[in-house]
Amino acid sequence: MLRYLVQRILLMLPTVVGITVISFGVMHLAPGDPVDLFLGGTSDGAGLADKWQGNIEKTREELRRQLGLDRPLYIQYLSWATGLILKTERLEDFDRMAVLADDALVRMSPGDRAALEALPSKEAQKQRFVEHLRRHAPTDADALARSSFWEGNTFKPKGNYVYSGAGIELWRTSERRFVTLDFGRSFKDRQPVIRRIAERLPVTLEINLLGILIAYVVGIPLGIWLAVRQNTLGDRVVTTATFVLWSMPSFWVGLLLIIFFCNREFFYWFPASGMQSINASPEWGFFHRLGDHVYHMFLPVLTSTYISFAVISRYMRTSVLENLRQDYVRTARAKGLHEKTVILRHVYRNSLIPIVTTAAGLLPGLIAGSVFIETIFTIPGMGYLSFESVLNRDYPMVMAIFTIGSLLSLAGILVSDILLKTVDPRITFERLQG
Amino acid sequence: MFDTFYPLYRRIGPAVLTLAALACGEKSPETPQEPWPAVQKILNETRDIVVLDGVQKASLRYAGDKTPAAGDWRIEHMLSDPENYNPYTSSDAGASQVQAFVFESLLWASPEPPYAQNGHIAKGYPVISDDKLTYTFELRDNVKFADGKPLTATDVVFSMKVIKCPTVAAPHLSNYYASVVDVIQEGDYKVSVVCNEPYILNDLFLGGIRVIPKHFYDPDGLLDPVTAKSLIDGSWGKGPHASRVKRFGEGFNQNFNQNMMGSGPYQVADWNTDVITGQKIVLTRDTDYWGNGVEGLAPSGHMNKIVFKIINDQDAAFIDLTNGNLDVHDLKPLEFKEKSWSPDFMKRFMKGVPFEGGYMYIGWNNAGPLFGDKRVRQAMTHFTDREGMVKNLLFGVGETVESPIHKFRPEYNNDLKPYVFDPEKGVALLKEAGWADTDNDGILDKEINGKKTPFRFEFLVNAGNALRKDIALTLQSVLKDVGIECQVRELDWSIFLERVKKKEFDAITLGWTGGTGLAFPPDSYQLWHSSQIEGNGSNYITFRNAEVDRILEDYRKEFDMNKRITMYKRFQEILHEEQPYTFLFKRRVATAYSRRFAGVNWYPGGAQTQEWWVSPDNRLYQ
Repeated sequence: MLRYLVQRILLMLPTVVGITVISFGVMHLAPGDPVDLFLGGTSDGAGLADKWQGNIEKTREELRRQLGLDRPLYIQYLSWATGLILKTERLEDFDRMAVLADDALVRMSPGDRAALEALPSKEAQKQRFVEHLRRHAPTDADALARSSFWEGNTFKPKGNYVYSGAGIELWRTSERRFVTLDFGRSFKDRQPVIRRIAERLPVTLEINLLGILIAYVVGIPLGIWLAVRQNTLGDRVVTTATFVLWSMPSFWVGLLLIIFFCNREFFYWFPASGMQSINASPEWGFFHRLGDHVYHMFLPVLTSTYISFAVISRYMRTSVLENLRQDYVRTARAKGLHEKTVILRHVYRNSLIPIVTTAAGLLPGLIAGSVFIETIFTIPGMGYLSFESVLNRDYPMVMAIFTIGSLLSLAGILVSDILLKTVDPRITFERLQG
Repeated sequence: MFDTFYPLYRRIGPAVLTLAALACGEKSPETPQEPWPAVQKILNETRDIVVLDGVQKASLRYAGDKTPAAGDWRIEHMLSDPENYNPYTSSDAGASQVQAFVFESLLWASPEPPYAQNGHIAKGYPVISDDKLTYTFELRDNVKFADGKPLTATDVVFSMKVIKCPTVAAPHLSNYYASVVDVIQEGDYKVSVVCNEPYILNDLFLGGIRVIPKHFYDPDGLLDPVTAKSLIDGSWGKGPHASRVKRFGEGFNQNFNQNMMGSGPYQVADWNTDVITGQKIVLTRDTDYWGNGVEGLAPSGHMNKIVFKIINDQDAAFIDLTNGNLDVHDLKPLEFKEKSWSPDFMKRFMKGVPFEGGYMYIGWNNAGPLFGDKRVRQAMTHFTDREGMVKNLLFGVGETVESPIHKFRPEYNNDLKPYVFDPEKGVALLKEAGWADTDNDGILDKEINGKKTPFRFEFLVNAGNALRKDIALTLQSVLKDVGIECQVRELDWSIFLERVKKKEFDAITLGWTGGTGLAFPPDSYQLWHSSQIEGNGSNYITFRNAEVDRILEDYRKEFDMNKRITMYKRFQEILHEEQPYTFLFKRRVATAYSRRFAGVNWYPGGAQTQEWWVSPDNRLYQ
């Protein structure tokens, strides 16, 4: 089992690399240039502003250079890929001096430090610091004096070096820094990609997790109930209802819900958009905010799950029906067990097996928010982000989303396989002998 | 089987039928069908802005006599979160909307004709040197930023430096100011800008710079030793300050997306609570605003707060408007025609219906074999039922245009005779141009370069725009009867853009947005001069005309308004004759706004929301 695990994890690596290469290739081969889109107005083609049109060729070239798009494709890919795992960068002169200054500050005695910080003006602080350096480390003082770091107002008594990159800085020496998880900066606003994703992810996770929870909590008992009452009127009606629900597209249902339940002219039960009230303030208590949040999230979550509990109840029903035909059920009944015990203790557990194993396959879907629901209800989540990024050819953002998504997919499949083995001991990964 | 279900039918049947009847039933009695014809009549009779009070015309100007009072909030709609509030690197229209309240510029244009430019941060109109190259602005000495620090010439020079700084991610802005050669500071309140050639709109460009504070956007003084000239002519790269400029660029691009500091009347009070990504942006009126009580400034706004509510979906936004959660909102044509006439809606909202600043057109590839002949293009315009499109596609909410110049500008040529929808005339023109159906296959043909070519072409529209598709389809059906095969092709916006820029098209339909709008003299150089054909310029349709070229060049240097008017009238005459575009129409955009606002004036360019106020009895919010 351990060997199998290790084998699978090692196999994941080339798969992920392959996926990133293909994603990169597809994105760059797709017609449409992010620079043109930046200059050409909104992606819905609302109209080109004639104001910016002058000298546009120079603008385009400058923009391409700034975004790194003028380099050959393989260099762009490699520089992106190496940023992800562990990237070492040589510090520029400015940063190196900042690190030097910080190190020297740390080595100062507490008395000297306090005296330095107590000085009123930055000029005075700089002066004192230079004197200190000349006494203790004259070569450093010379280097500092020569570098551009020393001009202007750039000296601070604490924290001169600030990492301004897009990834996570692991550690730095005086010559290099070590960065990881650098997905780059979005073309749209030059902000680190991981930060934007980190903002949007919790929202999508919330909707999806709640949705899955509700789907299972409603779907499983419903499925059992349906199987037990197979072919009765109740079964027929509920089955028809689930098929009807299954066939209604979520974007249509979402809009209908808004028109009927968020509208003064029909029922004004829920707000028409957003995740919080317009006058929400941090002074509200926890429960007030929670209530406001639930009030806003009710319809979006409902819209994203109604199909799922239709689906899950069908699967559960089929699974239970299959188990009811098994011999052990007949044995249990013969033993004189209460029907309820038969169903809820024996049949239920066995029917759960296929449901549980497919649940792990939902892992990648967790971060894939639905564009429709997010647009209709104005929920700033991952769906809208990925959709917009692809339309605007925001390459770093798209690559990050694809990479994270593919990692989660592979992890989900692996977990699903392991779960299957643990839950059902009949399954083995070793080759059958003979 | 029926016996099992009959009891069910008896119980559920009537309920289902009632539900069905309710669902398919007619609209509730509150939405009568009558208001629209009356409204349409008013709109068509008035070739001007219309303000609707219910179904009546209301006056364009505020008629009351009360004085404005500060208070209440105004909630506006924003379609998507701008995310980047950096005044120079952000190109988002939503961000620009917000920045208009937070930052200020040297001059402001009066909304009333003749749209004079008055001093805002500057004391008055700049002094222009005799060679028309140097513009000297004298600044007021009482201007302050929101943090209380004074605005001086240093900040104006700094703003210009940032715009021209090559490491700042705003190449579009830098090229907009391509004519600036140097910026000279003379003391604390005087700045001179030197341009490289005389151009009538220099005052517009220079007067419109959003002034940003140096102490906020460059706290480490990185750009202090760098001169504007070295940034502009490129010598910064070899100078001693190259690394400072690079550093400044990085910092400016990355650190100022979620904070703003300007001298305007509104600011974000608390970035943690007032700006929620994807949800809202709240601007609060600065009670210490330097312009309070100062005469001659642009109106600074009476609302305590301006809230931009972000709603990604247009239909949800309209529902929020009817619920009363939005105070002002642009109505889509269908919403304007059918969904905004309930007595409840009319009781709570007024509607202003100005014309949009831009126009829509069909662009013909003037360099192609089919549309290179002006007679063919004129014929195409005769085949386009423009009045019909206004009536059926815009529901009458718009009017046809004959030229690219705004109707209310003095340069507009009123003598242009509109091309009427006349397919016969079009056929006659085509015959003149050599097109006839020589092989009786129902399609016109002509010998071009020795080969018999049928009249077949592809009409490109961008996907997701129903109006443009309908325009193309309308034309297609007319052309079919006349013997021209037109194939309509919908392309994704980015692909469409690529085809347009590469000039790989026969016909496209697009629109130009307002641009500089009504307040400034138009400048059609970018679109119609032959130098703008190559290198991704905006003259996509390859229009070449020597006389037009000359007029456009001379116009840019002509500082006498009357001479300019004559020049442009001739320019419009030529365009009218050549028909490089089939000019379609400009739409009216209905804006619904809450009745509680007083002080609402509708100028030719639209309403100035900064003038609006709410009397204490009508206030809804703090």
